[in-house]
Amino acid sequence: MPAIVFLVGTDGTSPNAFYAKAKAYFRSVGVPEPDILSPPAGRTAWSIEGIMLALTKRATEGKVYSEIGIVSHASTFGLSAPLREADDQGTMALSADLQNALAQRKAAAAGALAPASTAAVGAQSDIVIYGCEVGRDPTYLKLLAGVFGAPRSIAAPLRMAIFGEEAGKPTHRLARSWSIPWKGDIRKTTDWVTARKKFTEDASTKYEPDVVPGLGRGDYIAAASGAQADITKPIFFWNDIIPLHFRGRKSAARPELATGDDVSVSTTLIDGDFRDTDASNARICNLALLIKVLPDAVSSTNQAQYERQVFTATATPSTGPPPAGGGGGGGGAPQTGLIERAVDAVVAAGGSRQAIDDLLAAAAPAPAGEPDPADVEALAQAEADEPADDGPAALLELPVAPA
Amino acid sequence: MNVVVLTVVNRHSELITGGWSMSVDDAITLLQREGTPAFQIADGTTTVEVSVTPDSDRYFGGTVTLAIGPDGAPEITDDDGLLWASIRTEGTADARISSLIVAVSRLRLATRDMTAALHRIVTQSHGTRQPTPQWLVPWLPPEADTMALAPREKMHFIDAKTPIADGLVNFTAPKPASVAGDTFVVEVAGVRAPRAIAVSWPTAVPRDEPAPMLLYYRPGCGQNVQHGYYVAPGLEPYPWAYDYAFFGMLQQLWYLQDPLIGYSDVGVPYQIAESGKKVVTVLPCNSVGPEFGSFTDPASVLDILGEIQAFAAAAEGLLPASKIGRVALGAFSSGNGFVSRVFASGRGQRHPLLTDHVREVYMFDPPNDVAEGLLNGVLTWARPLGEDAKVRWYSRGLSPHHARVIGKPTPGAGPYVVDSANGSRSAGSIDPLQWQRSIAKATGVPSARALEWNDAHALIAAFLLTHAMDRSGF
Repeated sequence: MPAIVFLVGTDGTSPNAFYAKAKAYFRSVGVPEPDILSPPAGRTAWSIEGIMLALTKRATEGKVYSEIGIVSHASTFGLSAPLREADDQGTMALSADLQNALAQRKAAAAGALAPASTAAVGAQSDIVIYGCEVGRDPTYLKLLAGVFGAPRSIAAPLRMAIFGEEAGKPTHRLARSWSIPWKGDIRKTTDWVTARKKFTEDASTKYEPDVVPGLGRGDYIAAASGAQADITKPIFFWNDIIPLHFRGRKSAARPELATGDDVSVSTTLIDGDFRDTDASNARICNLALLIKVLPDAVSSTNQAQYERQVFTATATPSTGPPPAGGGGGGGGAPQTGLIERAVDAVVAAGGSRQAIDDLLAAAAPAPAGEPDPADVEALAQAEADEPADDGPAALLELPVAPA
Repeated sequence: MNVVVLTVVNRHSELITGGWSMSVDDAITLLQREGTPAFQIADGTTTVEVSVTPDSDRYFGGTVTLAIGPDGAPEITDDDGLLWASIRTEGTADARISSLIVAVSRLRLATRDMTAALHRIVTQSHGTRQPTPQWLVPWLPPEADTMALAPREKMHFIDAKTPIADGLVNFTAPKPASVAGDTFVVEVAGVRAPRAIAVSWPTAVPRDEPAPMLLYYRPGCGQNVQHGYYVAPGLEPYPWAYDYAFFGMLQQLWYLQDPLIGYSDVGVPYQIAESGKKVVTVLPCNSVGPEFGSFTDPASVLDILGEIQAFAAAAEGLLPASKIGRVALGAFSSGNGFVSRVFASGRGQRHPLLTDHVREVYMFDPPNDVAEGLLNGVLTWARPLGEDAKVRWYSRGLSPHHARVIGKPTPGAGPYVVDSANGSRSAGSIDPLQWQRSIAKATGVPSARALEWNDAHALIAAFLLTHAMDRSGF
């Protein structure tokens, strides 16, 4: 049976043309054009739900695929793909989202996310994720497989996934990467000497050889030497943007895989890392990544490159955690309706409906007004750069030593 | 079940726009991520930490710690980084719903950032700029969350009641000087500049009442880059760098020693204390590039002054007053050009900052290129306010603008510090030679060198704020 590939997002103005290069690569390896699917019209991203619906629909048309490829920007936090069709198309499917979805399904909650049909995703199906470092978290893979239903296997790369071109031929490569929180987009630096120095100093804290035995400190120092933000080079700096709600989560690490390797070190983001905003005014953290593209050919069955979870009759995809809360009538863990359920419970326990209404009314104050456009413009003018004044300079003077 | 509904507001108790995110610790079983934000507390939990971070870069976040009682009732035990937090609860151990409201601030305490930067002294020359002398280090405020302005011995101030006597500047006899109050530094969210503001809050000024404030604009700092300051290889970026911490804030706040000897310090809080007035010092730290940035925009100034008042109240567990109090704008040298912006725009003249709060304007040796425009704006603002508007203008020489300020001819020669008929305005002129003679008389030691224009320039800032504050309506 053939393969199908979902290109989860679009490149927009991104300079690395990840999806365009991925499309070229899958064309080059023989995936038919109709089976390389960009987001549907009107959308900027496939959702996991949308992918399952598309697979189910195709199965009803007799089109069943042995390999289901999902190409997505990603990190160890998860796929940069919304879970539900109704979700904001810029969101990511996190472990918690997958857990909630499975819990809802387990509790047969109304509106729970249904799996793909067994005809579409079943014992014949291998799901392959082409997204950076998703394979570092086997639990995530099990949850994602569970959301899809009962595939035979799911696999995802342990490293960054790079689509590129060598000698005019599209390629798929993995890359070593060293990442640290960074104030702003490192690609915009104009002082690479200072940036490299700071990067390697900060990286030495994270990739400290005494903490991770065998981790070659010289690797990233050597890689950083001469590197800039040129993605056509085999070593380059890159910027990643992590939305705020990942704060405090740790990427999974695989220390058993390879000591002396960046894969064995996790990333933890703290409050202080989230200081910038992106164009959508969301609070974000910038990561600076030093990326070294590895020349080896890539295979999803290569255990040194891909984490692969294979499911059998005794090892099945995750069905999610037990319903949260306990004692609440076994009603599962829906993301919405929590307040309504709490109100009902309090009233059932003899609480005052009026008191609750007062309490909730106080929790809904008037919103702050939108900024007056005149204020916004005035502030922008006020914050414009000033030339150095050319009047008589009030020269700074060294202090005089007290007697 | 035990559910907490979370609401995030600003200091006006308005729901903040732009959204926000929260994280909670492991005791939380579920976050409601759509609709009204809420979370569920697991049975048996005794403590919960809720961190809130607004999406908007206009606000800093904070953390609330809740102690969960045996009946599941949450109680706030700490609210780090927030202006305030409140909680109401209804229910029993079987089922409970609570409403947690937290107020986020545009400011965060950054005194430690500033004091730490002070101790990262500049050890290299940059052009004509010399390294920071090592002897200074023990005198610097220690790295800490609070900053004390040390008492000083044998300090001269100008005699505010009789600033000129016998043709010379009239100084007080040397005496101890001190500042009773808290001095701290805040970082401002969502602006290019000023991102750091030093505040000295006198003990005698209540934190939950409209606060009287002096907002002081130091000179622009772009002019000093050519001399090796602020932006040079190896220097740290704005605002947590030695140059910004020392010249941008500390030198405005403190007197290292008697200003008759080392008169590059302004000692704003010391001069206020000497005047006997109880007024909060607000010192924005300007940056090369945007300089005072948002602080040339009346709406931003009013907003941040209100945030400072709320921040100071929160530090003592108080709720802030809804409005700030009387405000004075003071500026030295090219700082006057930035104050001029506040008055120059039509929106500035009509803005509540100027119509409801600013009642005093002090101009310390403004440069000629901004003088006329500044004075036009200030007099336009002052006219409808009558005697309540105080205007003081001090120069290092005679100026045709003085007569406009006080509404009558000035003495034909300096030194002079003269008032208008009703006392609401003053003009002063003290040139370098007059300062030199005055200092020689006060100290009994003739100057070893002839004072130059920039000496007189600095001396005006170092001394005459005391006169302006003494004459003020505070």
